Amino acid sequence: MKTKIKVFLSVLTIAIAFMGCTKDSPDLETVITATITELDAQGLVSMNPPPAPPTITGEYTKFSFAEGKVVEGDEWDVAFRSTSIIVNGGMASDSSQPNRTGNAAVYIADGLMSDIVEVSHDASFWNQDGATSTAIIDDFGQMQMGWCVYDQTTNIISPIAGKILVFRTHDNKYAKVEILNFYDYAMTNPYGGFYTFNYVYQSDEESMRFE
Amino acid sequence: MKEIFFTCIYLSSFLCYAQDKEDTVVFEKKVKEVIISATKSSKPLGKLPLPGSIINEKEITESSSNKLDEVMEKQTGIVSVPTKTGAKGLQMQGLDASYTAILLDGCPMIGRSFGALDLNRISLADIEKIEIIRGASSSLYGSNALGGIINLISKNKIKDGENMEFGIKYGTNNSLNANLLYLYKKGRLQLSNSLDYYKTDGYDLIDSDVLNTVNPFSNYSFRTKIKYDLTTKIIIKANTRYFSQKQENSAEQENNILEGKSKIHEWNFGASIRYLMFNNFSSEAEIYTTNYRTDEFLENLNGSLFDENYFDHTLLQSELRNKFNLNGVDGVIGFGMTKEKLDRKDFSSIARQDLKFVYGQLDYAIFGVVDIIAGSRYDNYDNYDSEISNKLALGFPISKQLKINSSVGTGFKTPDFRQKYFDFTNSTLGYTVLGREVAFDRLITMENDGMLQSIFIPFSEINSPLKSETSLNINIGFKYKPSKKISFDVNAFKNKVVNLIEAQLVAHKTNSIPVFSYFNLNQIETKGFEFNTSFRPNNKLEIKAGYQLLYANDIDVRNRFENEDIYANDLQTLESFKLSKEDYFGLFNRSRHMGNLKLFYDLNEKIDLNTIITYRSKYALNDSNGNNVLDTYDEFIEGYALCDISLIHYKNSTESIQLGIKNVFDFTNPEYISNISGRLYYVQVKVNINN
Repeated sequence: MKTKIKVFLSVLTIAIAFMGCTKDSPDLETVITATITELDAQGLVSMNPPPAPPTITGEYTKFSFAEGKVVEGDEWDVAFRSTSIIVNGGMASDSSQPNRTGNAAVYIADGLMSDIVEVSHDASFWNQDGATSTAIIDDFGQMQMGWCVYDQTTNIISPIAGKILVFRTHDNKYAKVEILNFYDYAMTNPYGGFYTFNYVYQSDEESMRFE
Repeated sequence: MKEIFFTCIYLSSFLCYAQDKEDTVVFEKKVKEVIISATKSSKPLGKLPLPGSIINEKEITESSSNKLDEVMEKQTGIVSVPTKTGAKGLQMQGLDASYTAILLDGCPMIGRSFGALDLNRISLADIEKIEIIRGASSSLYGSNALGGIINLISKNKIKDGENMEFGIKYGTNNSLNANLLYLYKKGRLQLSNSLDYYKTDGYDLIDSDVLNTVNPFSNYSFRTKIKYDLTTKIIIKANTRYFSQKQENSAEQENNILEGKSKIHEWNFGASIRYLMFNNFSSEAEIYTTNYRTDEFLENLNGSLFDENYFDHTLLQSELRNKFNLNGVDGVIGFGMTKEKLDRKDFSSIARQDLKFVYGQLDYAIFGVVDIIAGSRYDNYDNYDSEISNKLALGFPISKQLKINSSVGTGFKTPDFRQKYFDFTNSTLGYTVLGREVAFDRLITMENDGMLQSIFIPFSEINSPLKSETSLNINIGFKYKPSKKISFDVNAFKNKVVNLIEAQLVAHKTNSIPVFSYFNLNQIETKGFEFNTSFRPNNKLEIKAGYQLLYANDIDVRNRFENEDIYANDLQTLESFKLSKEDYFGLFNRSRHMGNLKLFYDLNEKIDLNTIITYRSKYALNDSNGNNVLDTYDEFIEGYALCDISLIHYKNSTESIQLGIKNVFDFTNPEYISNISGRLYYVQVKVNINN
């Protein structure tokens, strides 16, 4: 398993290096397709003596779809810290989270990346972070209510197959994301926190479609 | 049902060994056959219309087994699977280890960890034969016999005099097993004492880490039995057993090494009186009690306590059994009561359970030809629903060589104490697991204290007791013995188990930390067939072969595959793709194919050469592609074969020396299979002293 991921990741890294930051979409200039490799969002995970839960501290890593990279400041769309994913919309549920300045929201769709051709027009689909819970539920993968699944026997967190995160960005554009891996090539952190994901970003504010 | 009735056919007695060692032969016919008593009626195996088998002393010796796990692993369709705590349990007909009852002379053993009873605890020093009944047997033994029974029968002495057996075995990993058995009979008194000592340095499959795969441990057991014929009509029996084990305990936490010890103490005591009232009626009162206790702790390197744990389970059972024979009908009627209590860490209070039961079984040969067994048992629990279990079996002889057997039975397993009384919070992830009996009150308290962030299952649904897991088991098979040299035994089986108890999310604490409780959720189905053959081309060679085909499915998951879109992560690209309904593989930890081949060869009068090969096809312990179910694209643990070879030299009728290699090809899988240690060499000496 690990070796396969390693092989894949090295191929991927080379591919990305050749592609640059793939901003090519022959059909629609406004649609950007890219892969982000090993976005570092480890946070600080510390285990506690029983029966306390682990404490996760540290900074969130903020990401902008428009920029296609990690950003500082307020113009972020989504931020990561260990298994937690927050959006730049709604309210902070924890003082260590960055302030919400935008109108970002998210929902989790079932299907393949290519199945999601248009985002939902139904407002009830969209969730923003709340004071008690984030829009993407962070259950450490134990209940598969969020994006990941935790395997008790191997202690590995894997993305749930067939779950696409559909985002509204802080400035009302849309993106869809498929998370591929939670660990880095070298397995530097047994608790993971390195996000590899594919995303498709519609930079045209008027469009709710990805093709 | 009609089909079953009309296809039930019978072949009389085969597999004949000269041993009728029943303690009393009152109305049991004196035939030179293998008697099976796990059905509570002492019946020749050949007449049993159930899928039953017997491992005799010869086979125990030939497989060089000193502990129960060693011999069971060699049986067709039975696989020894490690549990989370390292104990090994037996999977039978594809059913989980928690569904097989382990009996010592008919009395239940307790002390299970995650449902599995560690078979290394059970010494074979004083065991004469092991009876295996596959399929639901709750109609006789109640809960825990949902999947089948393994009954160990201890040695009896027939003739007056003394008999002493001594064995010592030494092998790789500095493993030492010594045992001593003393049998005595004089007139009405019969006595048996056995002592077994085992120690091993354990082994380590992964050198790069700091922990051992199996830590050093040692155990000993002592068992004594006494039988006295007060008069020709009254027989008194008593037995006691004590087992003790010590093991080094270690763990790794945040790069700190934790060290400690774990101990097991177990004792059993049984006493019975049997009154042979008439020629065709006997009555036996039995009392049996057993206790199993474990204590373990882990310390940090500076000596401060990191964690400690204890588990203390007691069972007390009294039973009155009446056996009668009326116009050719053998009958058993029994009733009794069982009291159980469990005290352990993470329980809010001592858990108790009381049971009253009554059962009856009729055993009859219609027209002297068709064997029929019909039985029923009623279990009345003080704290939840009562259960009725039934069994009907028919054996129909087609010719002298061929017999068709079929049976239908129901089984149940009550929720275990953990599923009812657990009150546990995980040390690393912080989640809480609540037994169903304590969940309601604890959740209300947590809610009132403002500890709950969101609730997913209304508390009203939790405020009711769990139901038992129940099963329906069907077997149809035949036994065919065309000649003295060869025999075939085929059995097709199907088990459906419903109301499987699983943990499910109830609520989230702050920070979305989950709280679980137990619910009756899944239903599973296992089906397949088992094939055994025995071939003696000449009086020097015996070949036995066995095979099991198994399909084990979670019915709900299979339905999801048929009705919904199920996805998997591609292990190369890591992107998701859609699965088709044919891609469902089945339950975790089940192999589709299992087989064994045993060759027993007498090189000459003094030397036997035994070879046993067992095979298990691929299986998986966990999901690897992000959908929590086992599909054909998952990563599997590759199938493997194990081969044991041994050479026994009989110096004379009382002394033997055995040299052997277990796991000749040195198969290991450090990552996934912790209970296979690599190649083992051993030497064993046995001495019998007869007087």
